[in-house]
Amino acid sequence: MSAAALAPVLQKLYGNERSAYHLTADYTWGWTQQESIQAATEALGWKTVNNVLTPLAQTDFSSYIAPVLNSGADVLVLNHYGGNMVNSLTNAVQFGLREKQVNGKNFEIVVPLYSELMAKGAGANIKGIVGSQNWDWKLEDEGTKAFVKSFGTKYGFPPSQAAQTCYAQAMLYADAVERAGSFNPCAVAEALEGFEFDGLGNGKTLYRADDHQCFKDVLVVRGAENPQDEFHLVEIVEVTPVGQVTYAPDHPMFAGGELGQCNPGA
Amino acid sequence: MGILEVKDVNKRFGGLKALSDVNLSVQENTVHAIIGPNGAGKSTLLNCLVGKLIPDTGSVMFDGKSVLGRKPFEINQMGISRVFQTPEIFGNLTVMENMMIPLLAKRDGAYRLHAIESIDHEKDLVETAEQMLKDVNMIDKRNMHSASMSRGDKRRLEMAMCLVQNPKLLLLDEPTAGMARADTNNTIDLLKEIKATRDITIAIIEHDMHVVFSLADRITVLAQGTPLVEDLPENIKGHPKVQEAYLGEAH
Amino acid sequence: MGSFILQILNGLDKGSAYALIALGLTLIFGTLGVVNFAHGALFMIGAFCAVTLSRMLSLSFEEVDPTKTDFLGQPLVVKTPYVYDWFGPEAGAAIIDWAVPLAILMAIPIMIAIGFIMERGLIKHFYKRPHADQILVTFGLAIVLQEIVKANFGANPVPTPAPTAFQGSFDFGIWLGFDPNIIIYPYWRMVYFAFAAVIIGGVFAFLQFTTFGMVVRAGMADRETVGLLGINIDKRFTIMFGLAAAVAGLAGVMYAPINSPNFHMGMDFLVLSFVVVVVGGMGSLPGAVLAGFLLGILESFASMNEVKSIIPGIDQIIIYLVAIVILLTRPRGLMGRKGVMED
Repeated sequence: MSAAALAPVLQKLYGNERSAYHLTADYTWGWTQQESIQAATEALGWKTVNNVLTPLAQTDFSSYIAPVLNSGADVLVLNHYGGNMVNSLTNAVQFGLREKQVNGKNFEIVVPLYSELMAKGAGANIKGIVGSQNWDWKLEDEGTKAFVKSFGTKYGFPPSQAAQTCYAQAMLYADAVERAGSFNPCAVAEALEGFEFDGLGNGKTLYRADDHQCFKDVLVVRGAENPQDEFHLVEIVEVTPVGQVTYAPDHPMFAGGELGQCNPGA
Repeated sequence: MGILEVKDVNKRFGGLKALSDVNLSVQENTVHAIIGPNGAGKSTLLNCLVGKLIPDTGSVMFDGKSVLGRKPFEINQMGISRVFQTPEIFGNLTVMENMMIPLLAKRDGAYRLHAIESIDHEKDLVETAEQMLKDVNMIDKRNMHSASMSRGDKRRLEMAMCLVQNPKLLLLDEPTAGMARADTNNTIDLLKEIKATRDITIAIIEHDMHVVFSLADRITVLAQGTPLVEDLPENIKGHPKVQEAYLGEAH
Repeated sequence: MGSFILQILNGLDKGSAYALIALGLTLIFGTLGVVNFAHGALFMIGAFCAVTLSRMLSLSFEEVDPTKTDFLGQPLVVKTPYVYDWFGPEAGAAIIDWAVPLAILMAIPIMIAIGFIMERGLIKHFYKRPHADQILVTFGLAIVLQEIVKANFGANPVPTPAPTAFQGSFDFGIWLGFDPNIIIYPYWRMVYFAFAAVIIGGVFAFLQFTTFGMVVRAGMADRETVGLLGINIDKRFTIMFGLAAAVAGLAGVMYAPINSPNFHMGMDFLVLSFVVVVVGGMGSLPGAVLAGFLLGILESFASMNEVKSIIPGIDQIIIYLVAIVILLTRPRGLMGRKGVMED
């Protein structure tokens, strides 16, 4: 999903002739994200020089970053999330990758999915880094505005993506329980299957029944070069409509097999 | 009043009574030997004197002050030094460094900046240490790592480390244990010389009767944690109780 | 060849942090006989000394700029650091820029004080208890310390950059006659290596060439005898605990720009440091340093693509693999002595 949203922007910013070096967190999320980014960028004409799996518990990525410049790649894709991403991006910038020229082009770093909490952890290193987000407090819809206003008044800073997710999920769960008339997880799951809603800030959102995947607009963002304050570390480059990122339930890259029987756990 | 006064000392280890009602008076500038069969409580008594063990009851006075409740380093600073059964030296240090430790202890009071100075700044201490090493014929080994020395040399070094502090009371725990006859005689000569040239009181635990009778001014015989007799060496030799408890068993 | 040199550099740099932490751990174990599981927390607190100083230097007064608005649409509050006001914007910015190196000065007394309090207030009471009790109490202390930091600084990493002068990287390759971009290495990581070398050299010099160090070495060999010779070794060992805490803290201060400090960073290093200590040999200071660098270099080599392509995932287990091999072939570690932790 990130890949489908990101690819057109990457093409626009960095062109069709790029060689990418992937560092990927060694677990399911990392693998699938890397696979989809590789597919989407290769469709643009990019080459994939290497994909290196990094241990999830890694904190110092220097030994993985060090060989990148000499690999012939001119883009580094960090398929890392959370603390992994904060550290790997910090290390990559430390190695001076952002200032380097390779193949006659400026070396670029891409983080396919990040949040402003991660941007905050990475500090100035996030400048100019392109990626995608679920939600951002700077969106202009009514749901977002209302949430930012009440959250910001209470805490003195705008809500993070994580805050919005927690809030939205709690609301959705409460609503699903009410509609199902039960706390039974299977009944709640059923109430959410194929559920479509709007107004929580993410735009129109669907929990597809076939594979329980969530589909909504995706934000393409970039680390601000000169943030006006600590709340403007990232800027929204584009909102990719849900239509562009939706895939068929049996898409070979994402299909996860049958959902199986619901087990309520009791 | 002796320089060391042990009164009614008792020490139990669980059900075992290691010392019971021990009374001992060591007179200044004498050599006082404590003998007795294995398990008589000699080492326990010594450990009570240096603060390694605390008696259950009784008192231990040194030079008019109680040693009980003081930490081993404080007791040492009162003027009691101890030589162990097995040489307790610092194998990772050189001979010279080993000698410096007890000398540094002498000024181990309030913290002064010279604690972080190099050894070369302690000229007076170095001179004292060198003189002592000369006295025990070890000056040529000053930069040797002490772990690599012979057992006899280790023993001599340890003795030197105690003597260099100029203790008022020297406690010797079987100083000739495991030594060849020649080394034993050397040690006896060394101790005689120490006794003759210094103001020092020596309390010695020893199995070797040759050593005991060569050195001791008085002898206390300990058996099953209690002093059996205390007397002059010539009276101890033929004492029937001693024969029974100790000498008889030993031979 | 280039990538080989690069990974050696990298291993030395990784090894610097391992060696510093393991050195402090060994100082504590070698003197007090305590396995200090709170040592990683001391490293973390050091890093947060850098964070704190950088925040203190950035303390600002607030002015309302009515021409701009904040995210809630209210007039924007503009913050200006006091140091800008006191020393002028340029000098003020330079002071804030140099917060991390300046934090060294702040961290030394703070870490020594924390070390003293820890030893006198808590760990002292556990000397006569089994190692398992010591491990539990120090591990518990580590959790308490990291929760305190979390409560004050939040759970997120706090970016703490190096001075601008040390940002970016140096092309070693050109210097050695290679093509550009083959061996590049960040300035700050080189600073870290040099710093670690100075600290390690300093600790060894202190132990080797001062009378204080001599007494401590004697005490490490035989604590009881040093006491019987009239030395208050407990006091010196307390000072050594403070010194070990300072070493861990300084390692943390300088590490702050390498990875943004977070409350958990100490735990990330703790397990590794223990492997380093065990491989080096419990109680051996040179062993701790040697093993630190050795494991750093091996870890770097294991993450090379050439190596990973032969044995996938080797980078995840190399450290533990080495530990197992060492313990099977040399149970006392590379430079361990007989009788340590064997009673």
